[in-house]
Amino acid sequence: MSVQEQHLTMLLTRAAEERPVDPDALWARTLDRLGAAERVAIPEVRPSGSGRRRLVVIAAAVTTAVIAGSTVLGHELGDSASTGVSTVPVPSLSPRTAQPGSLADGVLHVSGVRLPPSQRHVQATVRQDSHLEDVFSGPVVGLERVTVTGQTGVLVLVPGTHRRDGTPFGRFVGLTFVGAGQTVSAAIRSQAYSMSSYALPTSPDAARANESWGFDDQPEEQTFAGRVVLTASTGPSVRRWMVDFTDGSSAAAQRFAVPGGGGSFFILVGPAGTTGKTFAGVRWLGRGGTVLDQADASVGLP
Amino acid sequence: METIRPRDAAVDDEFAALFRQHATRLVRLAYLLGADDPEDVAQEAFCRLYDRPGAVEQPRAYLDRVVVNLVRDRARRRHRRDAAILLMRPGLTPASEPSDGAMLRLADRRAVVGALERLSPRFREAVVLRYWAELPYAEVASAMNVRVGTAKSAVSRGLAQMHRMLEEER
Repeated sequence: MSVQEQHLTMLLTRAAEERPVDPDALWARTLDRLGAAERVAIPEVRPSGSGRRRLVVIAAAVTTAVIAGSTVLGHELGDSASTGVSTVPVPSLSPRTAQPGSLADGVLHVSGVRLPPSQRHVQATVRQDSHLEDVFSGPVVGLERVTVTGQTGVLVLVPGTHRRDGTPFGRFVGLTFVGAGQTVSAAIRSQAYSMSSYALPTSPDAARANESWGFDDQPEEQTFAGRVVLTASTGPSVRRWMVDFTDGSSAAAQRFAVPGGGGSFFILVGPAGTTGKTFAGVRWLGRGGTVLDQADASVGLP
Repeated sequence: METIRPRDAAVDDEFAALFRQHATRLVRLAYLLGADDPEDVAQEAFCRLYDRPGAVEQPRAYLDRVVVNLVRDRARRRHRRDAAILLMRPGLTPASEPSDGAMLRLADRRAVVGALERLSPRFREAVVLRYWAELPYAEVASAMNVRVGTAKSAVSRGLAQMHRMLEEER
């Protein structure tokens, strides 16, 4: 390469270096994209027996958890009066249209889905009273396409913060079911607890080794108590987990990397064998596998 | 009950390593090639690589090729007419390389980048891949999906055009 060519190389190199690049942010958004696009194999639905039941339960848990969330937030679905500034439309669909057990074919469809860019960032404030509010703000951290009672929608996870008199006091993950036509058809589900810290599996191997953990800090909310086996198949972003409980029932879990790094959300849905209740939970795993915040809900099976 | 699509963790580790190694470079490659959203281009390239676990023998070359193609395709969609005009513009006869070295000694970065931006997409690719990425001609050709001789010609003509542009600005 001639001196002149070397000079051109140098100039181009300097010009390129003037272009700022944030590889961490790019990694996060790539993970988000991969996670949203990833396909999940759906098990065959047996005409009868536990297979069908499990699938129905999973779908019901998703739906019911969302419905339960509206109660947690202190407003009814469709009640716009309790909602402040929001780019997420207030739910308009009656929760009764998504009754568990009325699935047309008993199949939970989960497949890749992508939101348009305008909906990848959510800014919403839900006020419970003059002092308490829940602020949903940030990028969508997880997406799932689900079909419940014949209606296909998108389950959206958005990070949120509880505030009292404007002071943040807890974080949570919001779940929103976005139905056909990109309208919100069910409310946010959230629950906040104080910061807790206990070890959780940080890798698939660790998960197998650590076979007992539960929501011990909230015994009244503990909806399953048996052994939890996390069998993980990993993607770089979304780590999909299957959770088996000792009583033979099943749940599904999913993990979402958080743009900007620092941890992951993962959501569990499934039945809790020991209480006869359905469990749906969202957990935040911070860096190093420590639980920084958690949310869970227990709701009765139909 | 199998609800999980198995995926080899080693493959994902390799993907993460490739990302760390090439992400910044790919964003800047897309930038120099004139992408509107270089990050989006780089992300798309990695996503395509991710969808082909084990099927890509030379990931770097593959990523480069995808970035070049993506920028090219998006530019075509965006400015199809303008691109055609540029490609048909008279005066693209091959010229000898500037011999006096005046072009690059006198040109500052902005002038060079400005000239680069006015090159046709094909010549721009050739110059960037050759002189910024410092790829050998065979890899330039691979990334551009052309023959080596064509790549060499594009590099030469691209340089000549840049020379002419910079001389005109003097």
